[in-house]
Amino acid sequence: MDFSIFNKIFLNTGFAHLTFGNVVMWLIALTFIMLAVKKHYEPLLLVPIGFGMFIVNLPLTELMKEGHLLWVPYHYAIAHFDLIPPIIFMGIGAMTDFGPVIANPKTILIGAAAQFGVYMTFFGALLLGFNLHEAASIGIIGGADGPTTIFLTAKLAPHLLGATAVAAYSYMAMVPIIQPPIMKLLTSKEERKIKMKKIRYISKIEKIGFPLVATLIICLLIPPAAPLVGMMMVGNLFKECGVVERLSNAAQNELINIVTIFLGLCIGGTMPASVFLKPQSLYIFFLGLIAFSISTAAGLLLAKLMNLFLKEKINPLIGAAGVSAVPMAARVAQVMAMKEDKSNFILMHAMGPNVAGTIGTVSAAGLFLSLLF
Amino acid sequence: MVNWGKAFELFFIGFGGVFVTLIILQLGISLYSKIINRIENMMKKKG
Repeated sequence: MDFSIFNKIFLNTGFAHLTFGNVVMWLIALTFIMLAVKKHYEPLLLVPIGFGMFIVNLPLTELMKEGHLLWVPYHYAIAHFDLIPPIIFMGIGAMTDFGPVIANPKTILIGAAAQFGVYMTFFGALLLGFNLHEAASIGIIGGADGPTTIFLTAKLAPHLLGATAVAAYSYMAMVPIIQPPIMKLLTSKEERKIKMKKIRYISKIEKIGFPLVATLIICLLIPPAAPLVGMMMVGNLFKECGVVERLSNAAQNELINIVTIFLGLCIGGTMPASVFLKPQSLYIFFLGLIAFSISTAAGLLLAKLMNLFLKEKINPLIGAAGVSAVPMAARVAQVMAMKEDKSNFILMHAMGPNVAGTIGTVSAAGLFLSLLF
Repeated sequence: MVNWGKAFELFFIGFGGVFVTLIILQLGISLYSKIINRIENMMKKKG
């Protein structure tokens, strides 16, 4: 009996090409999906990322090979033409209320201070042997802004895209675990009890003009930030102008949902075992955590510093919301404040630095691009 | 070999740039709010 036909069939199955690395990646993918399902950690992204990671680690599937299913959106909408991150920003803009920033613009400075972690980690990555482009892509994780991390990494170090994106989204999901100990360590009980005055009323005209003013200022100063800032602000204009409800709904629902599916699957697709299972992935996760922690601390410390000069004190807990992770970081600040005083509501105040942090991270990414290209 | 000169340039211009941009944004928003509020108050007074 000729067994060569069976041998041929076997060689054409994935089993014949399965590696230990593939199995490890399945377990990592399963962990991601479990975290999303059980713990609700960024489920909208971790589920497609987990599945993308799982499917590209099935040998011979070739979904990320040139011209294949996941390669096409990855190549045309992420790596070469930065389409998906700006569309996600449009959705974020359409969902964001910039009222707290307009009411209390000084909280924008906290969003700037929170970028300190980005630059400190940039140096950390250089010391660990990464080059300038890679270090910038790793540092930006500290901004806790997934789309910006993807936007920058796809341009500067596409080979690190999987690890940086997953690190950014993982730490965004773990805000309630990572931030509270730092917040407790750097603030006193009295500081956490500080009550802030109610945010003033913001008129409709102020809200409509804000996206135009912000786009004008940021894009004139940092033109490479225009794709992200511009799209975020057009989304916000859709929301605030009140006459294009359909566009606003599309930006914050259908459009963002569709691109999130492709983004998640493609990011997962960039993580075959041969690329992901390297010591540098662990370094990236470690550095990302450092970046995120430093950013949290820097925001808190600037809020404390501002209190030395301000007549009306601000609750320094809102400083921790200077990392982007909208609105999770603001919610964590609220929870921490309520632990000390149940009648203390700082959520809206924390939203100011929170959205300013997003603008700050986009600005940092834009500056990296203009200085490195 | 790391180009430390470029790295420090990225830090100072980058982090400084973020701060300057956001300070200008803060001032811009404050000014914009003041102008809009003044116009709205004037319009309210005029009835």
